[in-house]
Amino acid sequence: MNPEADFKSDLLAAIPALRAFAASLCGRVEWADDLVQETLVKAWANRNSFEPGSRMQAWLFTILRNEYYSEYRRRRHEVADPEGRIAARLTTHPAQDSHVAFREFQTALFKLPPIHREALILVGASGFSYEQAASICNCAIGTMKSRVARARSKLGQLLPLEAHGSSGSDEARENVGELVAAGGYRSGDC
Amino acid sequence: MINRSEQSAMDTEPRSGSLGPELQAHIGRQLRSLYDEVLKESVPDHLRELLAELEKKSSGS
Repeated sequence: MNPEADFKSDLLAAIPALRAFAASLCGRVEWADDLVQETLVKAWANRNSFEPGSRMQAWLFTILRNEYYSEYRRRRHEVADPEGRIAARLTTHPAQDSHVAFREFQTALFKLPPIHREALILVGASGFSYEQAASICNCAIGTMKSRVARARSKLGQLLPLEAHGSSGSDEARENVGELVAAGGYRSGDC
Repeated sequence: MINRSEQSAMDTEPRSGSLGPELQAHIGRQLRSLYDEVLKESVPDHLRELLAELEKKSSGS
């Protein structure tokens, strides 16, 4: 294998995660694939600046999110999508939750400011630590934590009451500080 | 208990928006469902072809 073949196979392996990140970030499948395509082209052009041994996925996510924000202003009018384009094309749905709840969640998710949605995705779905997520977004760890907390808080306001469950009482809300402080959202709750 | 640095990060968040554990779990589950749906899809042909083309171009130059 030459270095370019290695680099190519690393990029290929990263594509599913890049597509998942892009789709959850922009909410539109066509735009997501454009973002991934642009990310691969830029990554290839800058392959000499990638330091072998560092985490390629984080490097690629940084390229992709920069691409997203540079296009966001131009394409934001396309984003408003109450029906949830991703949900519409999915063939399966979460086993534990109804289709309706899934749609409601997506509607709420795409009402968030992208900077908050991005933070929630990186920490809550991509499995990055706060530190890694902060590095991808070029911000301080405290800022990343704050963004994740704000994203959750806003989703909580946007989701219908039945999603809050029977223990969504004032008492349970008071106790949440400990859960948030515990961290490690990939394996636990987001 | 949370330590001082975590406390200061937490202080930047409005306390009134705290979520119950069930809602927090619900959000985490839905978010991962959405993400994983796309994650498990196979790589589209046009992206495979793009990589092959990029490799071919640079080896030819």
